[in-house]
Amino acid sequence: MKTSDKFLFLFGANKTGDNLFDFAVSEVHSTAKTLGIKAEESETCDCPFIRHPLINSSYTVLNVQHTDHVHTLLSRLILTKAAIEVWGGGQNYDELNRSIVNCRDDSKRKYFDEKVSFCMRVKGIGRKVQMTDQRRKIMLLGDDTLPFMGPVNLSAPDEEYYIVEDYMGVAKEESEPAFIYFGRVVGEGQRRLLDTYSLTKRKFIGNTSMDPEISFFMSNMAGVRSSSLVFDPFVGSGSILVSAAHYGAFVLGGDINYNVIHGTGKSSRHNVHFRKDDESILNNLRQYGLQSQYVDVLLSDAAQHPWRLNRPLFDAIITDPPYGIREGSRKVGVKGATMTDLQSLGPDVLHYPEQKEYLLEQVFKDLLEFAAATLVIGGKLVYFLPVNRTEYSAEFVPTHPALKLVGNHEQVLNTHSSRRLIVMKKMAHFDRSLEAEIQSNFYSESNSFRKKYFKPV
Amino acid sequence: MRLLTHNMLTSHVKGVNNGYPLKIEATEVNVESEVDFKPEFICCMIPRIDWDVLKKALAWIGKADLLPEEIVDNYEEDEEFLRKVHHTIMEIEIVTGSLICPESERSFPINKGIPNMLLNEDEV
Repeated sequence: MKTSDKFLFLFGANKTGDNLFDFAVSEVHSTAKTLGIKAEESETCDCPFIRHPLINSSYTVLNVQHTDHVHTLLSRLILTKAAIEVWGGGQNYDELNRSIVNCRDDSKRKYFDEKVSFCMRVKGIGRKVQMTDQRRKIMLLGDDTLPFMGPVNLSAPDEEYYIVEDYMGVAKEESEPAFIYFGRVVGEGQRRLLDTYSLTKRKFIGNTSMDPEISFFMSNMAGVRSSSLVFDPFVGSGSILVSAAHYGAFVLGGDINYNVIHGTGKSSRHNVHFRKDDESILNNLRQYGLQSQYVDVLLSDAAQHPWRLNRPLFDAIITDPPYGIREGSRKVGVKGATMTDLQSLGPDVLHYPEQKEYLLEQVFKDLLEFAAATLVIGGKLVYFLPVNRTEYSAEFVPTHPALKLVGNHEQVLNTHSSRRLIVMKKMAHFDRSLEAEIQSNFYSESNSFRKKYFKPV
Repeated sequence: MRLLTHNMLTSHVKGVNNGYPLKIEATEVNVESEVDFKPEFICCMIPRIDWDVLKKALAWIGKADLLPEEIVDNYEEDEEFLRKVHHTIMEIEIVTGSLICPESERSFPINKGIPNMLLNEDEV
């Protein structure tokens, strides 16, 4: 029986729990599509050495035609820790041994060569496997099953192997896993980038700078590739653009806030009063050698945007609109009833336009209409939608006739609130008469999300 | 502000029918040569650019000779042509100046390379 095309993707996250499975599986599929790679779920019925992973599990098993494809996927994935070429699986060690022997084909012979050093580890899913137990379990794989002749090397082996024990759904008192896999590590995901791109080391941050793990995820869901043109209409300090640029995209940003666009004003860092002279989105990119990917930033209002509409502009719009918690959503307009007589000010007077509250309902409608107008066909809009968890229903998600909803992933913020990563794909050419719609009236009230977010438990 | 961006911006003052293209009045222009040349990106951008407006933009800053009159056929294989396009859309930066609406003559200032496209309260 063939195992050569089955790979186990092991997930990891800095934040505990919270739909990791949902996010991580989506990331693999979206990235595979972007790169033109086939990666499909195995049919468990014809495959006794695969267990269908439970929701909240931290791995999945996919059919991928070639290890080269797996390497290509791994070069993009931020939520996958490692990918393992499955050599066998079973509900207990006897079955596992038999499965490995059955699937041992000529392609694996080179790994048993005496010149190839190796090491083996045991990984528990849903339960930690103690070091003492690891040694014992490794011994349960017979020498006939795995006739390694090379030396063991724990620090820098030529090949690394994993026994993956799946304890999901197993009661605490039960000591045996529900399923066990064995396989060879093909490579690692990009989790080391989380340290490289950590916000603590970033030159310029704002109050709502996007965590690198989520930024990279958003870029993967948006189908970013090298030569994509990506725009963030609520760019802030550019944290989302940094991840898009890392994947080769050329980036543009807009924001209504002068201080954030020019990198001036009060710092968001603890114990630092004002921003330094060299804080800017461009310098954030320069910090990682990505300055060639910078196109421009503009001082602009997402409610009254300055982009021409007669031909498609962007491959992706990736953004985190303000929900009114730490940053108020604003647009240009007069707060009260009176309006300054601007004509009388004269041309030389520098006038900063007054800003009024930008109702969330309008924020999302404008965003969808903007995306429908300016994306290329097949281009993606990726943004966070804040929701109240108890009230949420599918009607909360804004719709537009030219955009198709292709992703909706919940990230919990607190007991009552979460934000959902929405992914939409442009399907049809822009027609000015088409409008965005939100069926729920959750967003039509002033400060709607903010009020419920801060409600006591 | 790069000329690629200028090519995609329009005046959005209330009541204006055609705010494109914005005229450039530049007092400080910076020409770089250290922006990495990525031919794939340039090929993707050529269909999205309004070629005449790009030529107008170059003329407004006194660099009309940098670009040929027409887009070359099979530009995907013409590296010299692609490099010319790369130079004009990615390596020329308007640092200080203004963008002027062709109808209302409203001026949008550019400072430190960043255009201020915010409208006043009475223009929205």
